[in-house]
Amino acid sequence: MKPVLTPKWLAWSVKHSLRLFPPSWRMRYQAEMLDLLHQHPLTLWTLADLLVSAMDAHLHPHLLPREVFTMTQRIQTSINTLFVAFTCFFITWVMVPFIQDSPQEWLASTANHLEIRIALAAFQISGAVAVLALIICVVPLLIVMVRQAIQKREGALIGQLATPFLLAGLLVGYSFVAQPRWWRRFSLNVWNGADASLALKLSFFILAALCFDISVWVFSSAVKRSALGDGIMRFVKAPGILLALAIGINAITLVTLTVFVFLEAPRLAESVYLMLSFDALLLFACWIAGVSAWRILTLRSRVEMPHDA
Amino acid sequence: MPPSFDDLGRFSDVALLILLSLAQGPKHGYAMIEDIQTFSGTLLEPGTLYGALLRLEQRGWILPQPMEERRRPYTITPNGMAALHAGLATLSRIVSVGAARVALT
Repeated sequence: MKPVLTPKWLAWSVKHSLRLFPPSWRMRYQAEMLDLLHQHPLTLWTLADLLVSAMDAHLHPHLLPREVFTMTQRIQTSINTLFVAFTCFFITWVMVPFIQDSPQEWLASTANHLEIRIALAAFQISGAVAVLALIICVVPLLIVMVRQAIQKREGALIGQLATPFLLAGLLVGYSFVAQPRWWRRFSLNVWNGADASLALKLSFFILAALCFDISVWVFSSAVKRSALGDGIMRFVKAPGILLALAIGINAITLVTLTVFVFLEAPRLAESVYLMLSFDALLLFACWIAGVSAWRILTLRSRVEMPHDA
Repeated sequence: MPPSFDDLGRFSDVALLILLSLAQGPKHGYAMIEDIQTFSGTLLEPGTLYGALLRLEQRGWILPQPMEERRRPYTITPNGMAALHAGLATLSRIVSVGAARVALT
């Protein structure tokens, strides 16, 4: 078929005529129909045919698949649930190192109790694995979504996908402006800040957590707007499950750490109360991540149709 | 009783063309339109194509496959193949009767 020059108003009308179809039809067929319309020569007859078909779909709702949730929708939901879990986890993971309300007591306690040090190390390592798993999960998604956005010339989606990078740039800029020597003397221990003030270090970490969470939220919203095929699950499945496992281990280590601190170093009681709130947040993240991992594991490789029953 | 296209109404001819196209192998919407235009000269419009696909899926004559990018290929099922055989047999009878009657005139 030779490509034909389609008037913009006609292309717009054809694209928007899909909104006249029933929601269940759109959920099932819209993505593939849009792809077809991009290749098909559009005429007034195409528009009229779509209008008649929309009416036909409304008149025959019994023909639509009972299971109207497309694989794309289920993939989007699973990925986004995982992102929500990650956001909750990340807030905890970043903030827990700061809950040393009495640093001297804290340092003394951790020096004397090996089990607390081991629990802290396990907490940090499982957290790092979770971050790594998210990155491995996000990269293929990002590539697919950017490619789709460029192909379809969706400026808003490209802007959305660029937001995390802009925020990262802002963060790096802030770290240089606020703490020029910060990069040379990296230390998570905010109390040992001879070269930078406590407020600046804290503000940096809070800004970092904020930028990260905004980025995850924006990315999650971009996932909803993209048409992700089943093929993407090959890249998302393993890191997604690893991420859920890492969050689970992270939650177990934080609960263990809280118990150790409560039993072995009761003088850090104020830290324990703060840790308990983080425990709750992390257990919530663990629960959501578990649900998401289960969804990813049980995703079928094709859309369920009524005649499968 | 062989599968029938009768109750497909205005989609019966289109359904036969789609099944014939899929008999060659799995195809997505655009590939079907191109193939059908090549072997029959009929240019299907997307609305009509998906109206027929909906009905064929509902009858279990075709099966949607996992999405590849934004395209979903469809395959013909054994029931669809039986329906295609029945449809082609009817067409074949029409052709023979037609040819015989035209030869008499």
